[in-house]
Amino acid sequence: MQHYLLRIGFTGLLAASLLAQHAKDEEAAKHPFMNDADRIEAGRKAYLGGCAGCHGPEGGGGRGPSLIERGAWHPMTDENLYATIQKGVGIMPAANLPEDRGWELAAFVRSLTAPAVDVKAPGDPLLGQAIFSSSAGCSNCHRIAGKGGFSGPDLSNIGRTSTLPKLRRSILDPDYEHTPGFHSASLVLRNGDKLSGLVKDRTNYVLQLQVKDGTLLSIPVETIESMELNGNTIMPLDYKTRLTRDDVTNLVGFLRLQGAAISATSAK
Amino acid sequence: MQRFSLFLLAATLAAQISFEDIRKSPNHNWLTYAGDYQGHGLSPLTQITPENVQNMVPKWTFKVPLAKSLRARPIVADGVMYYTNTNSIFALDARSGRPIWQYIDTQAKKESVNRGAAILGNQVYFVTSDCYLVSLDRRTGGLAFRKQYANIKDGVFCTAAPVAINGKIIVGSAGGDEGMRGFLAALDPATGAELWRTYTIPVRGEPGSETWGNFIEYGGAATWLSGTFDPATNTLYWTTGNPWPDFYGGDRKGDNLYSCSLLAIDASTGKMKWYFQFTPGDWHDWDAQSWPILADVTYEGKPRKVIFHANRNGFLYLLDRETGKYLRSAKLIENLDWASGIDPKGRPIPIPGKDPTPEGNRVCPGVRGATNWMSQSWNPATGLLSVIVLEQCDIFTSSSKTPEPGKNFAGGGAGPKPKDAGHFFLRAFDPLTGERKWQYPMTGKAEMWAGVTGTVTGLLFAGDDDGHLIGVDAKSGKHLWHFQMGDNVYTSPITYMVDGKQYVAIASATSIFAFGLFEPVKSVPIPPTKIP
Repeated sequence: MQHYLLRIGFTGLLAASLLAQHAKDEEAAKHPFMNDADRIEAGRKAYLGGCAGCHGPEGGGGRGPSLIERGAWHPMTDENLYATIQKGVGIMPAANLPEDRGWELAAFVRSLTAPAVDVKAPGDPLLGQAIFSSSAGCSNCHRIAGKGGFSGPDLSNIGRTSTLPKLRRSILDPDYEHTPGFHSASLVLRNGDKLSGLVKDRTNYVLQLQVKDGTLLSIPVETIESMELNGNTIMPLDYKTRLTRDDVTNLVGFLRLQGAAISATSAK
Repeated sequence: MQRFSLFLLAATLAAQISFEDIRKSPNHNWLTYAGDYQGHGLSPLTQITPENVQNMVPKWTFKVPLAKSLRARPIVADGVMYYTNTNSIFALDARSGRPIWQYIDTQAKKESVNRGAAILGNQVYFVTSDCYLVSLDRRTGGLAFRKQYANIKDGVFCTAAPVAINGKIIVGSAGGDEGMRGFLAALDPATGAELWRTYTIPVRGEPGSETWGNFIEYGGAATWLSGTFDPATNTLYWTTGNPWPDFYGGDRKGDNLYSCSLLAIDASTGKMKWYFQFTPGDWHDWDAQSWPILADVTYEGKPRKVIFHANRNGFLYLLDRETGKYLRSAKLIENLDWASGIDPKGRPIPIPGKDPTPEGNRVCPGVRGATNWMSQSWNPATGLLSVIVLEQCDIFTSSSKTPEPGKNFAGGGAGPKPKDAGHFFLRAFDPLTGERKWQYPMTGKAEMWAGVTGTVTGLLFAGDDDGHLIGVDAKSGKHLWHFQMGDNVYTSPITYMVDGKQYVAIASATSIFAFGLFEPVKSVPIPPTKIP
């Protein structure tokens, strides 16, 4: 709990570098099924039938390793991923599927770690934007391209830094994984002042607090009389029931594009 | 006291960083790569002095994730330090070194060093190695835009810290050692849209193109170091790099304009006001990338706006800032054997037989130059310009093989004999006369790229060739303080103040170090904390 930002520093970087490596691998070799929504969906069905028992229904792992989180198997070229599926590795049995079925499965597994913006997904981005900005109230806390609140992570580039499974999970089960730097705290200072905001970082000696208007405060711990840390996410936990299945699909369809439109222009 | 400083900080952080704020830097802040637009590298902070610097101790360090060879100089705005590495930027609490946010650019298609960030309004800017200007909310690290301004397929890559001026972000170009066409560009701070672009090499038919033979399209003259800026005349002063291929000029006979030059550029239009070429038709890779320092002085009894420039070719120049007219020069180094001097028009007088040859030809200075892009410090009160110089000679070889852009071909190469590795010195000059006033010799392997920063108290801080940050007396060069950072240093120091405390910061190859005056560590009572 205490070393939020150190965790960003290392696991965040690992994730970022894996995503970057993914982009480079994609350039090096891209099978036509990769990023094809229909093939990925076909692969997902095959996955549920043969792989989910060990790797978890959403790739999160179980008896077998997580295919969402784990870095050891990734980066891996498309060819190697396909070969691993078809031939097996260690105690993992060979799939021995017809070639197209094998590539569909590989495309699904690849999609689990690909930047969301690179994976075709159903969902209407315009409807998703409306949900984000108004009906679900996401923009009260999250900023995109300079608009929105400061209470949640800035999502301007989320399509580049997250995957589709993680995007979906962060809406439906926001308490599953906490984004460092977005836990709230209430402080009483020794001079009697009271402060509340988000703990961007905390040690036993100094605490960085971001208050509602985005201002950052650096607070020496010796000036703090008492503090109360909120260990749970401040994101509402009821989107699973508040939003329809289509709402979630559209919202993901909108979020996955953040980071795409602002990067594609060329000076030439 | 704590309450006062806490809320003072809150008040200032809510404000945006304006052009006027940058004009006043450095003060408690360090808002631009060089500290100030003029390149003086002189802080007005007075808490740390020659008398008390022996009490300076490390306050914090920050290991920059994945760092191997940091090149950036930090900027600091209202208690937050922004520091760049390759395709990444980190926001740190400048009092404690604790991280606040980070941005890793996962899309970049190239990895090269990065020299730093710029700040304007609520945005922090830096460039990716593949030449996108990235604009981030300085409070959250949220991405506002990521705008491409050059294509690596054209041989260009990007390393320089952008310079934020009034309504523009100025960006440069790198890649002159492999064949490309250098440029300087002004981009819109709100969108990254191009406002103007000035190429540093003319196209065929334009004035100056007659100074090239073949390969003018790939002639280099990159702009890989931030420039200086005169807000009073809205003029940018930017240096350009070597002509390509670096070490063989047989196919580009002539002066190769505007390589190895200083360009004065109208910041409104990008139009060149004047140029001064230090090394015409260069064969030794002596980019002009070193600081054009803007000073208002009394010269020959009259007020004059001038530029000091310590060049890689071994000479220290004095130029008129309004016209680019050459005024005088002096030798920066003792080992200088390629030119006997500079003629009255500012052109070097070459000594024959000093071009690179297929067999190898020993020439001084070496390819890294008498100095380079490391920071310098000019103190108008003492009249001293402090420059880190390298006394070194290299064996220069040439190849007349037909150059191919983008194939890592430089027309030859250069390097020292093992016994001839060279020595670094911190030297102080009177830049109006060229007289050397003192020097501080360094031990080491001649591997560093560290710069020097001064304060008005008469202190100089510099990296040295053994991995120290050192403090010396600016008037005499006397050693006052040092600290071993455990790594080579390729960056330049800064100084800033937060909550009434002055800090001096510099990055080693892998970590940022911040220093301040010793204070006994008091026991911190851990407050009652309700942790769920």
